[in-house]
Amino acid sequence: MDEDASYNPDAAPYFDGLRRGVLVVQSCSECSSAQFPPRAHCAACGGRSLTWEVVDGAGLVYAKTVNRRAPEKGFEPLLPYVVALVDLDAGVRVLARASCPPEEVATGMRVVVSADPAPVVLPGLVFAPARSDEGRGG
Amino acid sequence: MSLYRPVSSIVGVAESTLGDALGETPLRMMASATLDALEEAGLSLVQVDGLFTAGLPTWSPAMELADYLGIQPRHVSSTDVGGSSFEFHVAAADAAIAAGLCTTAVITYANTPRQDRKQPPLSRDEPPYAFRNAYERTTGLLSPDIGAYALAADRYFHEFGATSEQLAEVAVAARQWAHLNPKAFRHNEPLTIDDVLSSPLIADPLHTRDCCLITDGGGAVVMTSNDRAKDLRKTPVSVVGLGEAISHGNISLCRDLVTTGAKVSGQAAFAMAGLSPGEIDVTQIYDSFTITVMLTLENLGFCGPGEAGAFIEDGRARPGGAFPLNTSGGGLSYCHPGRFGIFLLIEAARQLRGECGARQVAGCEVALAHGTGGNFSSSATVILRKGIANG
Repeated sequence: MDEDASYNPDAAPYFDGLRRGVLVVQSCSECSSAQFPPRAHCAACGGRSLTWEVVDGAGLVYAKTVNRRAPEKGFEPLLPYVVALVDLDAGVRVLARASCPPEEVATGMRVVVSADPAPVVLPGLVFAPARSDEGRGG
Repeated sequence: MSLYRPVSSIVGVAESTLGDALGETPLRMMASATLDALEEAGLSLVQVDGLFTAGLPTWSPAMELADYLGIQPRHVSSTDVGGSSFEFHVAAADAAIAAGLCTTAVITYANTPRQDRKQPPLSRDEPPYAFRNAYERTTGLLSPDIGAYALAADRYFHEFGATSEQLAEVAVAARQWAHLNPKAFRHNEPLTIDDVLSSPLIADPLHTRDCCLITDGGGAVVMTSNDRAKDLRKTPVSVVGLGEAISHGNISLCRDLVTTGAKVSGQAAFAMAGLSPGEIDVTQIYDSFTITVMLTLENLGFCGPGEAGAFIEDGRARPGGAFPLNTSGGGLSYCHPGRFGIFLLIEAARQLRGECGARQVAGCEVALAHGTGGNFSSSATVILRKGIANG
């Protein structure tokens, strides 16, 4: 999978971060907007000076679905699993797969997003419900 | 502000073989539909100087098709924004005719996904830099597109308390229209609300019966100037309102899952036509999934946010109801060869001409066709009127 990632300069720092177990998103030096997915420019202001910031992954489930079929073979052993759009307190929206059973996920609940410990394709994101002592950012 | 006034009419429509097109190819089917649609209008292939198509899996859909048809058009567009591409093509064709870039435009599409299921699947791999590949594929979200629409349905339920029963009504209404359309793939198969709710969940909250068919099929629409349309064989169906919108491409870039591009495209089309939703006699709304119809009805302004369930309850969208919707049976029950938008235009034109037999809606003067493509990404609204409007 490293060969694929090497062809995507925008994503390389994000993938590298996930391999080290941290989630990084872009921050615009000009307008301070957080940005995901990463780009060579800031989609909010057009600025071209972006830095990478480590974020803690705390956020809120915006929408979820339980996948009962897998889009490719590697995901079949995981079925059924939840995939959700999560609004991070850091100010970006990400798509992530739940690492917990479907019945533990509700739309609107607080969760923590982190690096997928066992990526099926490229490095990606998983999430789990926030414990009572974490994910209080919002 | 003076609004653009569309200049063109639909003068011919046709489908190709639908359902199981054994031994057919998309090129043969597009050619067949194109010839039939031209013949309806009393036009010939050599007069076609504008060609609009999308979705043919070749290096250049428009040029491959032009070669197959054997024409040398002076204007082409192969804008591909998914299932709504052909509503976008109507806008492009009207503008091209207004600008003098072409005089006789053919919009056509065909595909054979049902036959292709018997073949090893073609690779859908996207380049590593594509957002879907880098940030969505890694999650295992069910594709193509079902996962995205399921997310929208989940958010819709969360915000408005809508239910699977309300979504199921869209599928049941479509099936009842299909019973009146001999060409519909599910013409003879009954469907109840309970059938939808007890069908297997595929991407919660969507059941298999919330999802469109996978059939073969194709169609063509011929457009020309209103001036020329007056002298052709069929009652012209003139374009009176157009609106387009791209809200996002990939679902993780969608900012608001319940406010779709239909809000932008619908407002533009109604303003151009000088009409309001209550003045539409028959409505054809892209139905890739039941949720697609619910959110589109609300965003076009037929009802308020969260009100689509109540808007179509008591059979209002079924045959005989006050709001005739997807009268062909739609993508849910008539046909769906990957991109359904061409069929919305064909059915709208036939309803306005009064050619729909058992499913004909009485007194049809104004029709709306609305395409949705991608992951609720692309929206285009076309409002059509029987006869020449802007003559």
